[in-house]
Order: sequence, then C-alpha cells, then structure tokens
Amino acid sequence: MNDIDFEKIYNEHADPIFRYCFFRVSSREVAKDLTQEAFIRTWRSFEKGQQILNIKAFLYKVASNLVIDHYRKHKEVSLDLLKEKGFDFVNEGRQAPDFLDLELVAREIQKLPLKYQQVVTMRYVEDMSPKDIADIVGVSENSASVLIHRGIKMLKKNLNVEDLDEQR
Amino acid sequence: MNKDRFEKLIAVFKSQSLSKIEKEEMLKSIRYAIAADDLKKESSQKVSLFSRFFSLRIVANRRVFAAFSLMVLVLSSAGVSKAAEQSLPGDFLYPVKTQVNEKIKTSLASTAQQKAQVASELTLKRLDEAEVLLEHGKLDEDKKEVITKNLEKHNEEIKKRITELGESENISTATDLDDQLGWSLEGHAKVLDKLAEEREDSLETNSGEDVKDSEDSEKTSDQPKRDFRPGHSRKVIKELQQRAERSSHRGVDRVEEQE
Repeated sequence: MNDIDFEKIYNEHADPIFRYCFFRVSSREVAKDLTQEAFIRTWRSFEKGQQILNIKAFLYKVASNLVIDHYRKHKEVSLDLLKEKGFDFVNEGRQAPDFLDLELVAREIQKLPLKYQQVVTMRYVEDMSPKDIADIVGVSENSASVLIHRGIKMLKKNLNVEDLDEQR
Repeated sequence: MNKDRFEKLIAVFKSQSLSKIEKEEMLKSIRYAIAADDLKKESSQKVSLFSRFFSLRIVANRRVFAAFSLMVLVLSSAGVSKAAEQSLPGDFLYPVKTQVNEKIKTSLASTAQQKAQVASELTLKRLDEAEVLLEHGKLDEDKKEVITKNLEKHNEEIKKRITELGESENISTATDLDDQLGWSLEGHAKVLDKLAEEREDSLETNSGEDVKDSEDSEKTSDQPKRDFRPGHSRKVIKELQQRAERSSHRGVDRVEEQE
C-alpha cells in the first residue's frame, strides 16, 4: 500500500472510527488515541502483507479490540473520571440539547455488555446495516440482528424510553 | 425520557467528528509511528543477524552459552530484557522474555486476582506472537509447540486462580476475570481457529492410527500428558475458544434475565 492510498483511507474512515470509539468510551481524548492506534495497527498489518479484503470491517475490528483492551486496562472508570478525562460535549461548543441527558445516555451505553455496546454503536451512530455489522463482529446476519435488537431494547429500557416495542 | 428526546441525544453523538486540526495532527502522528516502525525494522534486522551468528556458535557449548548469557544479563540486563520483549518464538532472546521477564512479572503478583490477570495478559501476548508469526508465514510446528505449551501453562494458572477466587466467595471477581479474558480472546478468534485448524491438518499428515490413538486417549483419560501431542495442545486451544464463547453467552443471558 502506498502513502496516497493510506491517506485516502484515513480521510474516509477517520471520522466514523473516531465516532465509534467516542460513543463507546465517551472521551474525546481517549477516542482520538484509540482511533490513531487503530490506523497504525491497520497500516502495520498491511505492511506485514496481511490480506485485507474489507478495509472498513478491518478498521472497526481493530478499533473494537482496542476499546475492549481499553476497558480491560481501565475497568473501574467512574463518571467523575470520565468528566476529568474530557467528557466535554459542552466545551466542544456543540449543540447539546441537555448535557445531563447526554451523560446519562453515555453512561447507559457503557453499562451494556460489551457485545451490545459494539453493535448498538454501529447501528445507531453509523447507521450500518446488520449485514455489515455481522461481517465486523464475525457472526451471522441473523445473530447480528438479534444482538442489535436486544442491545437497543436494553438501552431504551434502562433509559425508560417510551415505546419499548419499537424495532429498528 | 421520551422517544424524541432519545433520538435527539443519539443525533448529538452522530454529529461528533474530528476537527480539521485534530485530523491533521493525528495523520502526522500516524506517519511518525510508521517511520519509527521502519527504523525499528532496520535495527532489528541487525540484531537478528547478530543473534543468529551467536546462536550457531553457542549451541555447541552450553557453558559458554551460560557464561555469555550471564555476562549479557549483568552488563545490560535492562536493555536486553527490553529488547527481549519484542522477541518472538525462535528468536535468540525469546527465552529471556518468557523465562526471565515474565517470571519476574508473575512473581510480583501477590493475590489470586493479580495472578489470574498476569496469566491472562500472558495468554493474550502468546496469541499476539502467534498472529505476528502467522502473518509472516513463520508459524511452523516448532513455534506452534512453544506457543501452545506456554498457553497450556497460562491456562492452568488461570483456571487454578479463578477456582480459588470462586471458592473464597469472590465469585463476581472470578466471573469478571473470566469475562474480560473471554472478550479479549474473541478478538483473537482468527488465530485460535488457525491454531486449531492447522493442528488438525498436521494430524492428517500423520498416519490414521495416530489420530485415533490421540482421540481415544483424550476420551478415556483426563490425566495431563507432559509430552507435546497435537491432540493435547488442541485441547488447550479448544478451551480458550470455549472461554470466549461462554463470555459472549453470559452477555446474552444477562439481558434475558433483565427481560
């Protein structure tokens, strides 16, 4: 892979991968580090001659592993710590409907079992299809749909969102 | 919280992106890391030439090998152990990594939880090594043997410590440890499959009788065998795969409980 290709891949996928990490760790700084590492590892795999058929799926897989490793290393992350580490919707100057509510959603997402965090993020934040998600997670399309459905249902239930039976 | 509100909050997450400056800086850092990789590669090639030269000569004389190792350890133990961290099975410094560095790490862990954590980390390290070797097409039988034997050792330790934790009524810690390792192992599913699958291949190349023997002995006796046998090593890989599977099932069970 040459430099130009890599830059193209980076420009195309940097934001989605960053968003994916951010949704899962709620810290811009941590999400940035994980995104950067995901691209470095992907590049290294290219360098080692590994065949990568679906670059998008590969990047998500690497990023997922990094998020899991991040949780493994920092298991006890309190909400206060999250704030200290840069949980900073407000400071980002984005249109935050309600900072506290965002915090609540982020906290509930992180309380989901890891497998649900992964699929809910891909489905909700990236609008990915169950098939794409299945490719990345390495399960059948059917299992992916079940995971998505259950994950979203669980998230909505924990947040007391109305219309629990809604399916996406 | 009503549905609209929820959707609006999700939309905020969706709107997150990197600023132009952040993006440029990140690309710069990635380029640095890649350039550093290239430099490292060049220097490690020099090291491996050096180590090959010595390994040829030294194998002939174990005393010289011991003296040389001692000298190297005394003169530059920090440097060597650091360099050893990057080594792979088959490398000159690999025994330093597993027999010195990792033994120190293991002995520093005092509680059952810490010991289980160290063993989990080492398990993942072995799988990382297998992945690197696999990518380079260097995962031959000898190296697989080294990795699988180590995996066996780490796996026994993990099982022992998790049982210990469970017995001391620390069940939630035991489950957490099990879960964490399971999740991480899922990330290495490919190499585990490969290790399992290639083992079967290597069995097929043996005579049919051997295959039958090893399968029979697995069924009839649970006694651990000290010698390396394909059937036995596959058992470890299988156990690791099952651990990954169990942790994902537990996730599903938890939801069902809540439902």
